[in-house]
Amino acid sequence: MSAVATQLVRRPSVVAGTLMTAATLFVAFAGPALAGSPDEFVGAPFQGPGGDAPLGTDVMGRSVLARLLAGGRDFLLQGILAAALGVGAGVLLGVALASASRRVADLVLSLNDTVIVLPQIVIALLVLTRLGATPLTLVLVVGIVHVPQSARVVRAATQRVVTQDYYDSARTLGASRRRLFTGEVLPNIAGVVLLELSIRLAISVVVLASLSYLGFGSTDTQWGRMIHENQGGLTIQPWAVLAPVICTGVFLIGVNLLRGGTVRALAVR
Amino acid sequence: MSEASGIAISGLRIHATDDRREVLHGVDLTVGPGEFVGIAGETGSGKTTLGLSALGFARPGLSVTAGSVAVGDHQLIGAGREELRRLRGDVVGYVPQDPATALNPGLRVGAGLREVLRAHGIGDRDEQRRRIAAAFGAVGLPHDDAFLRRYPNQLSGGQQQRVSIATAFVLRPAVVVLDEPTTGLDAATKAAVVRLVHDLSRSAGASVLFISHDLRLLMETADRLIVVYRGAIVDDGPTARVAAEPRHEYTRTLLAAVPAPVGAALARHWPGPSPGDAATGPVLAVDALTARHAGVAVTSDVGFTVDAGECVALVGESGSGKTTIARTVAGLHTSYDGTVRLDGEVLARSVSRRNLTQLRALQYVFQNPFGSLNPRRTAGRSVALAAELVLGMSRPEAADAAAAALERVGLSTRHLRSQPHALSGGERQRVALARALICRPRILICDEVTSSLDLSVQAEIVQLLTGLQSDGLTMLFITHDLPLVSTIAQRTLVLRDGAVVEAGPTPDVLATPQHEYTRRLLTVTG
Repeated sequence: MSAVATQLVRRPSVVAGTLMTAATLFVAFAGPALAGSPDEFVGAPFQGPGGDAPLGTDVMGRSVLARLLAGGRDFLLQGILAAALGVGAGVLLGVALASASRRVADLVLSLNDTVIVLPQIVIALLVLTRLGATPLTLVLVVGIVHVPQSARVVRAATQRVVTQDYYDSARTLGASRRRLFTGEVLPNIAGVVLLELSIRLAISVVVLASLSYLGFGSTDTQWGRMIHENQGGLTIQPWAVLAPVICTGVFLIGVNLLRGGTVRALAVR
Repeated sequence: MSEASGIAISGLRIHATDDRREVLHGVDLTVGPGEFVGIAGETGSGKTTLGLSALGFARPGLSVTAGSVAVGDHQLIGAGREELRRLRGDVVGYVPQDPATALNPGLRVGAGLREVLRAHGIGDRDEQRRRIAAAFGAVGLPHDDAFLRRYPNQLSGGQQQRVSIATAFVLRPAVVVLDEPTTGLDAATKAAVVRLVHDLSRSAGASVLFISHDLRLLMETADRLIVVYRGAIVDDGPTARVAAEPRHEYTRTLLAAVPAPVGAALARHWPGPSPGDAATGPVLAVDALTARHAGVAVTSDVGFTVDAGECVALVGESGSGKTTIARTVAGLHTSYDGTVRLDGEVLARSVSRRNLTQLRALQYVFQNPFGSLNPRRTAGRSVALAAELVLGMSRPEAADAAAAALERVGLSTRHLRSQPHALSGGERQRVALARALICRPRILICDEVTSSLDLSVQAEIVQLLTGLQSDGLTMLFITHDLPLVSTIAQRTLVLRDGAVVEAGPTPDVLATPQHEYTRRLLTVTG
């Protein structure tokens, strides 16, 4: 275990990824406490940096910094919840598919694959125009569109486990279905699930930001919303758009570096 | 690139990059052109690392820290990426262990070979065709268009390995490295592949480094034998000399572990159970068993019994249906006609429908100890869990029982907390045995339990099993290795294509085989 830890620390991509992820998480979760009021008007619209607004003002004349600090928590939280929901349901479905009879599995999988073909963002847009974008519907929609893909990945990993001799060995010892799941399957697919979670987290954030940009996302103060609102002033006051873009980008790159580095460190052993 | 050059490795040191452990301690090795060198040693001895260094390669996690590897005028250590790419194939050929994974499954075999030729500057289609025909002809494969258009999965294991070998030899390299090229093959195919490599090296004048843990195989084929132990060459000389007067203690251990030829082993055959015991009836009775895979029958009408205290061996080559029979008995294979009785009671097909007494009575030990232990569980927990599930013990009771069981198979309490990846193959197989024995089974099914282990470790496991047997353990012992049978089983059944072709007391089967197939098995392995 400690060998893996040394491998991790020695990899620049892991160190950089950890720093970037931690920094954005800090900004997002400590931000609301540090920020001034995000809704207070501090100057004329699209003013450059200075005075009460270190990052300038937005389309309504509010402080970009205050809104940046206030707008990360719910945004990332929604992404995290959506990823957890999608992968959680994907694990249940994937494991069920791996142990289902061939006929049932084939049927569900072909349905599953049909859904995978549809772009996630299109499904999300469709549902959100019907139901309206509340934090709950956003998390549900973005989460549920992950399920088919996660289920496929988890099913493949589970199938590798259930064809192993140690799984058969547990069966010959009379282990119950629940014990087989918690004792044999889950510990051995944990790595794959963790990876899947990090991929889904990044995609969730991208989908949420895209939805906001298209005007279908949350109406609360959020990074995605800021990009949408301020795009008109991109040439006059670029910081109003760039600040949330940079924060989102740093988070995504950080998560990806962390994942890539971890995978390689684990693979070498 | 067929100028006679040979290979010279000198002062080669290879380290692990993470903990700086030295894996090869300054190895010197010179092999002349046309020489066939067998490299023997156990898993982890460094024999594969040594062999692969001939390609200028160290697997990820290892790096060359000193020394040189030269083939003719070409230096492989320190060569650039592009130069190495050119040298590999042209100057040094390589045949990997598992042909099934070494060949690109999406590439037809002809296209695979053409790609190699193209990468080394032979772009002319006619020239390519000529070379491929010559290479496939040399390894005894057809080279008509129909064959060249096949995909690797349409070939048998032996054919796949021939394609691998043809690929390695097609550019007529000066050196060819073969890494356990016969592991997955049955005895007859194994012998054919080795003979082929031998002939090819003679006719092409290539030096051959043949890496194997199968000492018997190397002794029959190699001109020169090298024994690698803990990262150093401990013995090196003409095969006959090394076999007759080993210079190192470890070589002696290895040689002692080679199963004796069949004739010699007959002298110490095991007595059967005394007639009085037979009154209770057989522990296991399999009757008219026809098992199917996806509707296709893989065994036909197999029947046999195992009496208490007896060991019955099922012998056959890969594909003979012996593992399917074992899995059927264990309740892991459910598609079959016929009956399986334990102490006279018909067993349910699926393991999930058998009661706890039946589960306890019938314990299964798997072929591959690297797959049969959950990698996320310590050895002690794996064994203890069996006691909790089958014997209904509490956790502390089971932990005590596990410690005792591990001791019984020759492991110490130190191994209780070990993760499987920290254990050797032999240690893992002992843990798997302990997990079966802790249940105090009526009958133990051993499915090729020694075939994935090194020779000296095989001997230890067999010794352990014979010891258990003299304590009265009943066994169904499945193997492809006839000499092994003579040391352990009282009765032997020979399986071919899913049917029993010969059955009887082991000494009779081995001494006076009635079936032509049994005789063939004996000549191949003996």
